[in-house]
Amino acid sequence: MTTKEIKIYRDLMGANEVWAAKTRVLLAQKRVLMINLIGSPGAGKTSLLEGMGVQLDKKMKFAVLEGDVETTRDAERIREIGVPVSQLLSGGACHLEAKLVHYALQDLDLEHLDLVVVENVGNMVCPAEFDIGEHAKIAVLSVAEGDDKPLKYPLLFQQAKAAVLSKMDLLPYVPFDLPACRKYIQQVNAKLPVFEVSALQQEGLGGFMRWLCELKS
Amino acid sequence: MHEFSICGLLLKALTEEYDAIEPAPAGLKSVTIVIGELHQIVPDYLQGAWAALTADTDYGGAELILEFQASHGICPACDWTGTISPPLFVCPTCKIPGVELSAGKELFIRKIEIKT
Repeated sequence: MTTKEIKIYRDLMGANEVWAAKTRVLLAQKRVLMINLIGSPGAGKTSLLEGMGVQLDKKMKFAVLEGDVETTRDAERIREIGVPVSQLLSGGACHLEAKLVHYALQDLDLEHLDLVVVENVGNMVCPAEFDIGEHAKIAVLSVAEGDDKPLKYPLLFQQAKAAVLSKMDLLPYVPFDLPACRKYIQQVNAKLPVFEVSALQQEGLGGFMRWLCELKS
Repeated sequence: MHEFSICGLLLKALTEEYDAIEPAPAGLKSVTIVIGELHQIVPDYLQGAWAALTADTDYGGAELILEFQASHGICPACDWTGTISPPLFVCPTCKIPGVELSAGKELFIRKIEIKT
């Protein structure tokens, strides 16, 4: 038996990228902004969406694609506040991929939307690896977690276009070093805007909303 | 455990390349992929996914060779270039954050070795 070496240089994620590119074309045609919320389970992603539902509906029409491993509980929470939502069940997978998101987008009334928010499966590692055709990945980190997470999950904070520090109302009660966290974020991605938010208290959402509106325009 | 998904994408890309080879190879000996340092891929998990997904296929027994690419950056403030150590993207010369990545996010098939 003889062997022969063949150089290839081919992007390994190409099959996912094909669907991400289709999504970008679709979003451009419909003039819809899509963001991808990424954070650990319990970071407050769904609460952030509920807070956005209260404030954003007056400025931008938005819908949610809700990614979870199991159950439709989060989608039901979003539906209760009157925001169109589809549940994407990953069936055990730790992230959403572009093909699933692309098909789910087709079920939304994109003609009458300004923004689609994808809430990825709770995980700070895997979703950062996958392009789903979004305009921006948003890192969500709650003050109930470690303030050094930007250093532990650098790919997410490198890929993100903004970071939301959630559950700010808990800050007086938890040992979260806010200046240190902001310093770590800057060390990983100096250009990343950071928004301090309490969705429960409806505080700090305005700055994030304005940033989204600027991104849309 | 996104290594299984990444391995599935690898197999799709590999199959398109492999099936296009003329004359058809007698088999696959190895595939070499390059992984940038920033990717959070566990080599053992990826090897396990490769073994599981290629068993009983035309690629069964072929070796998956992993090459890792270190992170390199450019400082927009002082033009320093060199190897950086994630997670910190701070310039070692001027100490300013904001070093821009020039290598470290790669994820591609570099070569395959076929049996003829």
